[in-house]
Amino acid sequence: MNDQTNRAVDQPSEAEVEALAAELRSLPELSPPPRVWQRIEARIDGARRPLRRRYVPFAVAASLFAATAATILILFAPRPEAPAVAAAEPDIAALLAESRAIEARRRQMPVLFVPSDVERVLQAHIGGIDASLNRHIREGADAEARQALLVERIELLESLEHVESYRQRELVHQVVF
Amino acid sequence: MSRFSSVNVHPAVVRRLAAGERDAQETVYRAYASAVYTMAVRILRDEGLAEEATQDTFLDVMRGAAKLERAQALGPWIRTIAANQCLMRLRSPWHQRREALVGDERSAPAETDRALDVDRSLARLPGQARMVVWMYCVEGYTHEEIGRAFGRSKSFSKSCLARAWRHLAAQRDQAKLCGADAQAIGSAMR
Repeated sequence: MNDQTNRAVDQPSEAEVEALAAELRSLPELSPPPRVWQRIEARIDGARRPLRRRYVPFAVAASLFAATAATILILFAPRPEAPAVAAAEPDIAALLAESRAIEARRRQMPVLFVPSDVERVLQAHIGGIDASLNRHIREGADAEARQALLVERIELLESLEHVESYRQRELVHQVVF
Repeated sequence: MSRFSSVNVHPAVVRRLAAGERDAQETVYRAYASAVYTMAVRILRDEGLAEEATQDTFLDVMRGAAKLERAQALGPWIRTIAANQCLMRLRSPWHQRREALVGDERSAPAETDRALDVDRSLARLPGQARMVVWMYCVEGYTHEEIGRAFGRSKSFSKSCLARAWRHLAAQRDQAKLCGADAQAIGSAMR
């Protein structure tokens, strides 16, 4: 009896769930704007372009990205001969190690030929952070500012890794449920 | 009934989709775009993200259509890909941080006051709860399927739905109280 009473308190009844379902189903259906189909068409056409033309922009972007990332890693790498470090420097070293580990994992994944919009946005944000980091280094900003940027960079890299690994799974069409 | 199951696409169109024919791709898009986009908007609460999820869903559909064995499986398959696209975005640390910043004030377009209330209540749920509620109540997934999609157990989905339901009921009670207050104020002023 007690069990039943507890269940009645904790769990909605079938009728209550059905009432909620009816309300949700009555919400109006929405249509995507025409630009969604236009983008899909553009992506399909892009995927059908000759190999060389299709990959040149990505190759250029990837090279720039790799060069910027390499510059940051070299500039931020802890050096044995460096003088006494500020309080946040050990954290920066740890963040850099984490960032490198994610990059290494991403390098081991097979290359996805056409990045999705999400991936492009994430890459653009990472590129923006890299530019900010470079500027901070040139202007001699404090370690805390660099640390905040690195934390953000790692979060974005994690998101990118997540998206890429998801797309890998989806490309082989393993239905999850 | 799920919006996906109310759509009918002729098996011949599915065969042409598998062959990569553009007109078949467009036909399938036109048939399912609203179902995918509606699901994405209601779950993600962001029209830009919903557009991306819709776009990526159909790109995956077009790339993988050749492997689809049965034409009847097209709807459920598109629904699965769309749900995974939404789930992937909800799980992204970037999205989670953004959602925490945006707060409760998001709502998708709705036509009537009642629909607006339901929509606002749904928007105030955490992303994961929104997804469970939508998948269970609208798309007709079972608790077991939802649990599996989240990499969790059946009871995860059940308790998530129960919590969401309590949350929605509390909001409804609050709205009723506010409505009664407004009515009383209105009467007093008359």
